[in-house]
Amino acid sequence: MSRLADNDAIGVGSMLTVSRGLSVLQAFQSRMDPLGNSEIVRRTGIPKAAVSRITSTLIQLGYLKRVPGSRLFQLGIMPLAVGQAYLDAAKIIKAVEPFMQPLADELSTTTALALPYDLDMLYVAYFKSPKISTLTMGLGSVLPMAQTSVGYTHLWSLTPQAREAMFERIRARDGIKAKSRIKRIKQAITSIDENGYCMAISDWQPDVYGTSVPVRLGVSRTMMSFSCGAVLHGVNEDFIRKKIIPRLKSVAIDMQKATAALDFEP
Amino acid sequence: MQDSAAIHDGGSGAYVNPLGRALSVLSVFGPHERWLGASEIALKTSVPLSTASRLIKSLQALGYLHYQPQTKKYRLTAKVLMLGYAAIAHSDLQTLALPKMQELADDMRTHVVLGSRDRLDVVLLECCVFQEGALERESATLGISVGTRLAIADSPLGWALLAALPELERRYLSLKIEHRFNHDWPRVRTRLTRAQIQVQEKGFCASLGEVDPDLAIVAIPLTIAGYAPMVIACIGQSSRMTSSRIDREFGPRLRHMVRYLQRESA
Repeated sequence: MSRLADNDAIGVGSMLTVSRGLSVLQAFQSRMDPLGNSEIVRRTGIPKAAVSRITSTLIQLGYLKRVPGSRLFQLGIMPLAVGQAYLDAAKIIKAVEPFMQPLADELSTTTALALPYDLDMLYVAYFKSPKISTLTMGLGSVLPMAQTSVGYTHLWSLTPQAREAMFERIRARDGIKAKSRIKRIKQAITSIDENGYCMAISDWQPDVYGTSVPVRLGVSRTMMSFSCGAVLHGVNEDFIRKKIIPRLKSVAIDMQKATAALDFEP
Repeated sequence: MQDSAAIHDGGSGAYVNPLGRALSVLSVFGPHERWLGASEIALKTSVPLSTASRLIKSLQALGYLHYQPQTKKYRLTAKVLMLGYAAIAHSDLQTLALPKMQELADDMRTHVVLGSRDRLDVVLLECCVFQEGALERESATLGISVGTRLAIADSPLGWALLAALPELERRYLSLKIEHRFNHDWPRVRTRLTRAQIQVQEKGFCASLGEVDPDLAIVAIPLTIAGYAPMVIACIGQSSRMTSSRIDREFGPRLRHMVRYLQRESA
């Protein structure tokens, strides 16, 4: 299958090759943690022979680098260059900064806008209060959709059929853990239906909370997840509900108004 | 060139042509080349127009390029950030630190490592061995390399990192460590407190023969606004790292490096 695909001269094959190559990079989830070929095979489902050709190519082009003295790979410098080219041209961050940075400062939290890609969520805007130092997220960070408030919010925005299709993919990937995750997602969806927001407390990273509301930004009314998060010390659900949520909701409305005339497609 | 030549083995490893070309298409965009047409892309990548067009269509179908029908031009989408931007963006500090770390490793004939916190571990992000490599055998025994995890509570790297955190966050993490260590907590707490006092007085903390009788470790916290807290440490033979040498040479060199990194990354 992979040989045929790689050698196919019609174009369908090269599309598959490109798609696979880029999904190998995505398997690193924008983290510095080194991965080996077999872990990449596990994460992507791509046959081993194809994976080693792809990693070899990505190393030659600077998208991956070898960890010295091992058979592992790390992300290289090139993803930074391509990402920076997008960010330099993106209007989105400049437009939301005057809303999101003051909110982060006021609440002593991080604030973020996230978009869905496959089963992940991507931070396309991220700001943090100077008081936050232990969270290691940032602009461009990738989070699991099935375990984060921004992911729950995206799943809420889907039609029941599209949502069920996502649940199927989560079941296929997460195995035994899928059941409790989907239960949490359904609770969060109910919470957004009833109260306009959802929360994730230690659902992904222990002792970290995130709370999120849907926003529709720009002329295209592009749906995004808008969130606040921080480490859980000295904070309980009641505090989040009373102090964080009302501000998050009100800034969401301000941002929708302020960007209503902008080209905001990510 | 045709896609039938998609795979060629060039000594340095396999190379998948369509993937290489697709990545070169993505990398031609920049702050001044926000929108590009297919022929411009073909020209800039030196890929024949028919092949470039096919790759562009693939990248558009995969969601990495956005097409504007009115102008017949393409631009990058936020999805290019999924290729690993965040991992590198948050490691420009590593690029800055690496030559200094190597210099110190060579001068002092020790390992010099850089670590960051993940939950209750310190994860090594960079690891420099001094050039003559006399420590290589030991390093194999130690199992130190990029990606190695050391328990915060059991390593001077963790103690130094904890000592530099804001009071609330330190207290919070200490609670978690107490929970994990349970009956061993009194010993751990004493050690953490001693290290904290050392960091306050000297800027670094040291451990001689505690982890391993032949091993000395000097660790210094590295805190820079906008980055997760980090730690830099020298790890070497205790015969070469006496406490007077640590105070006279290792400590000042590490303090100097931290000040340099703080200044340069500001």
